[in-house]
Amino acid sequence: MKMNLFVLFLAISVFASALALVTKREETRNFSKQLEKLESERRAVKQDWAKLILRQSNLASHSRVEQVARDTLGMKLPEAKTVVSTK
Amino acid sequence: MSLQRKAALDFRNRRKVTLALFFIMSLVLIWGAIDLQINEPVDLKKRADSRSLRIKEIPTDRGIIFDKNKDPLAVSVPHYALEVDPRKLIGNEEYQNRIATILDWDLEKLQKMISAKKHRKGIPLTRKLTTEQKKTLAELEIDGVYFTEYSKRHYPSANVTAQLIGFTDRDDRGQEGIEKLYNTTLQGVPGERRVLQDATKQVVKSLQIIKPVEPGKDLYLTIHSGVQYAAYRALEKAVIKNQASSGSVVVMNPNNGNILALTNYPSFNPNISSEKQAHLYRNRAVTDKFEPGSTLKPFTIAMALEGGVYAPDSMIDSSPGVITIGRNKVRDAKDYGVINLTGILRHSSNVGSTKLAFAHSPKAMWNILWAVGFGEKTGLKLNGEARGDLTSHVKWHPFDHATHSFGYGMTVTAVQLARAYSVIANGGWLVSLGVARGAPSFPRVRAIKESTALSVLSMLAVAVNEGTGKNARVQGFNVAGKTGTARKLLEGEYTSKAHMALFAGIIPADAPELVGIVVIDEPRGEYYTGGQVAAPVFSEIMHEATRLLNIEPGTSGGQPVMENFATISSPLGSAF
Repeated sequence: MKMNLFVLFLAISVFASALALVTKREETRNFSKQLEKLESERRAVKQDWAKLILRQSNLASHSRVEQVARDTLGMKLPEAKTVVSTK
Repeated sequence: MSLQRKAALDFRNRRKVTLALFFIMSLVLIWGAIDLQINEPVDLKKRADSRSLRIKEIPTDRGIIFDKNKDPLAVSVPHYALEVDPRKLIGNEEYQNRIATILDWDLEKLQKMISAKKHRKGIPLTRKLTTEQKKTLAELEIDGVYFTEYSKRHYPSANVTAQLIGFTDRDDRGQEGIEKLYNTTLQGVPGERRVLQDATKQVVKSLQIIKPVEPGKDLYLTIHSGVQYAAYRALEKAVIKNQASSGSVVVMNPNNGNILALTNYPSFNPNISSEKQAHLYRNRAVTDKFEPGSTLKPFTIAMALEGGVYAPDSMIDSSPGVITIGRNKVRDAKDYGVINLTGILRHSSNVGSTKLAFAHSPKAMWNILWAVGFGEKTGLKLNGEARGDLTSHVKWHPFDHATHSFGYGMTVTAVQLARAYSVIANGGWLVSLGVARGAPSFPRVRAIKESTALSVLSMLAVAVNEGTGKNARVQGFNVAGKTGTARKLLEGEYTSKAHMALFAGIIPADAPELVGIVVIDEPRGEYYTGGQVAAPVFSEIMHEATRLLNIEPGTSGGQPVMENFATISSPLGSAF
């Protein structure tokens, strides 16, 4: 009788473990999928950001600002002797 | 035997034979199944998997390079290349027409490309697809049109930082400059995933991430792009104006070794591949060695002060302005008579320097040059950095001993000179140079006494205010510095036709925050001396740099600097 119960317990354990294995494998796949999706989203966002800061940097570059100030706005850099430092 | 019995016997036999045949066939099938399951499963499984399982790369993007204020200096953005399958497009004039229109190409050009390679599976059409073109083409869903994503590096500051930042190859791997030095950090490591694909090689399911992706890390430099731009602009102007062959500028913080600007002219635009020519890649400030000429004299003075025999007000007789050493002569521009140590720097006296050197051993001269970092790399670790030449004093003849005291017979790089002047600026410490935030550096070491550094600094302030470096003055600031005009060695002889015009300066002299080195190679215009060609570049750059970095004018507050500075920081009394 004891032996039969033990065998039954083992059988249930094997069945439960098999079910758990399948469940976990499925979970892993889902998480992998999710991770992959998030990684690709992160990459897309970073790429967008890179494009934007590149654009910003091109617009605000020292050479462009100088060119616009000089050619479009008719400005010029003050000479050293015309600059007064105040504290 | 009756017919009926015979028929019954025949039926039994036929039944037996049929059953036996079925039994044998079943055995064969069972054996086949067992054979497949036991004897060949690995091979079959492999074959099945090879058709459906694949390992795919998870791409990563190269990190961004920022300056110290988080302004981008190098950014990777995705681009798309267009590839077509000629076999699917040939004969389909409507699609060909649409593709040509979107690409803004002649239909003939497209047809020519397709028909030239009509048997190939895929041919690349262009790598310069705009986002709009890619979107429009993708929406058409044309069979036989494929896109390949690739990353392209952009350099917003273009020529201004070209040699320093370097560039990458088509696969986004660093080839030169910072891009090469920090390639591993910037590049990251692509990941790997196992996927299930169908017969058409389309990914059906992602099964497992085998190796997670390690994104490329962003890099923060110590470079200040505003100062860098000011340096480049002033240098470009000076090289063109003086018809020089090239020039370099280094601006650094002497207190921590951080490089704020490092630029060269001529330069190139790393965004345009046709401009990437080998002779323009070279980061001259790091790779090119030159004889420092008179810019080295402050270290001869430092040697004399360290030796304890000379004080700042010690007098040296430089008459008659020439000294004979064996078959060689060392000359001054004119006879300066009896001068003190400050006078040696102010008049840039070669005879005075030689007399100081001869009052000490060659070893003492060599020791001071080694102590301030000549003859060894600076810690920058940039590609092709030169050590410079500082031969052992054991090999020196008396004339070598003399020439080392005024900067001949040895070579240095612009960054080495900047580092050596930092020793004077920061109270006598030798620092390792760095261009990236958090880069490993060795701890600073004492090179000369604080009092020596301070004395030499004070003398250099006089050299700018009263001596050869007047053009380096900056309104509102005390400047300390030294000019240098080194004759170039051509075919084994020093020529008076080719010079290096140099200026090494420190600002504000009463509380140093910046060291600047200007090197102009072979000026061929009206002027050629360091004071005329290089010193004005220093002044122009520092006028901008002090404003951009919010450096307050020194204690003199822009007043005539001599008297104020001498009373504030000079421990030398009568020397000033």
